[in-house]
Amino acid sequence: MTASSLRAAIAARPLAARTLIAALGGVLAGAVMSCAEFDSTTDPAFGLPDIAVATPSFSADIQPIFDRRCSIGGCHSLATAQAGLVLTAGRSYDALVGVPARLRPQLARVVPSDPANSWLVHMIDDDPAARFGRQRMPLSSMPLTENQITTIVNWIAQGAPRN
Amino acid sequence: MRALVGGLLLVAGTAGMSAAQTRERQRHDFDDPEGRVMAFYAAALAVSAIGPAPSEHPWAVRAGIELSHIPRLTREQRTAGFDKPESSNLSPVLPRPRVAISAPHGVRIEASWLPPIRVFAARANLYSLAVSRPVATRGSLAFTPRVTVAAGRARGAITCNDALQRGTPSEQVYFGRICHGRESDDHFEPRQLSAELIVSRWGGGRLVPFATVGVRRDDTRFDIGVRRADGSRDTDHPVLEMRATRPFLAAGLARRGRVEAAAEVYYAPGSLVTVRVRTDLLVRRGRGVSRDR
Repeated sequence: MTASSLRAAIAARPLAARTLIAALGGVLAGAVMSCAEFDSTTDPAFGLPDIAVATPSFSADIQPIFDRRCSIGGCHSLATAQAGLVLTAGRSYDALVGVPARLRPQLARVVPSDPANSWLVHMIDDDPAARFGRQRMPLSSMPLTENQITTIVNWIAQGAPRN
Repeated sequence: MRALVGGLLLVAGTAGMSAAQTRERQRHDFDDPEGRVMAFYAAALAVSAIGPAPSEHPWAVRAGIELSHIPRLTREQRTAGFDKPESSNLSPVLPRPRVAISAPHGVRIEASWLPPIRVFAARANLYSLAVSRPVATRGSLAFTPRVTVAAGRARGAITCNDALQRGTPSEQVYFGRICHGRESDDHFEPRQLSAELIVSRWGGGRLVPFATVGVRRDDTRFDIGVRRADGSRDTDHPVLEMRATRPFLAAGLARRGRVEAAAEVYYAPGSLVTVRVRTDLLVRRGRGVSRDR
């Protein structure tokens, strides 16, 4: 159909043409008027109590952090086990304490009573130099809160007990 | 008509069964970050009347199309529970072909189907069936209740999108490690039952203002479709579910005629405000006695 025949067709059907123009106008108006009506409300503690526990229990204070932030699908779950690390309940302790880090074999993931030399702390902490260029964990997600990091550091500093 | 309705029900049944999975399911409330985003898209894809049905003879048939604008979400709004934004701004518009049949006693049956064609970066297969009938007039106003069921699936690369490769270093690592360097094939599956009451001007005149109040029951799933390097679905990722019953409001103007056009502002509290337009053509006049609404 040529442009002139299209114009002729529209001229022969003015109602249809006006309707079409009105519809297109409506879409354009919609693009201007439309909006989403909600805010992002991400909780930095991801539903966990945001407190620094002085004497942490592994099962009550540490594992819930792993459950909510680390052992999710595609990450440190049993199926995916990124970097060979599974942090699901029942497996996480044995995968961490005294086990060499796959990404940094000269360091253990958790060295009891020595958080400064524990790879887990390096990977969740803010200092990029300590991670040797690796991305901070949790990957592409909000970092753990300062209180959550302190809880993990306290647990390691107290000998990383299996309690 | 019987064949058309039967065919639609058959399609609805088979598509509903296809989502059977043994994956982890995460239930989210409307107020969760994930729930908010799912509710937003459920509202954006919801079917509404866009005006009252015209008075026509039984077995009159109208065919047309509806265009619904899908507002863009900001990076913050698309960051639902993760620091990584989801690539959900796949299409700014939802086109929806519709067919309406006037049955005896003022009943109107309306079906829509968006076939699985690519619209911008999304591919949707959405269908609906609605029944309405004017039940009362008061003064110059007509009251038309309408019930709609809708279901289907919209697909796109939402969780893992090529755009991540141009994002922050963390997003680039995410694309390589978690996404296996591939775009995802995410499925957004709305299932909806809605009831609405359309109040419109009754009587002469080609322009008919209308207002609608309704409530919609959503049973929405988001199937995270991360794909492994071999193309298979990575079942380590969960299926998110959100159930909610939400109100909605709409108001607009319809223009009567053989070619009818209507536009409405659609408001789903807590989710979106958008504009929808509809135009349709009377393709079969029908015969018999029409209700004068």
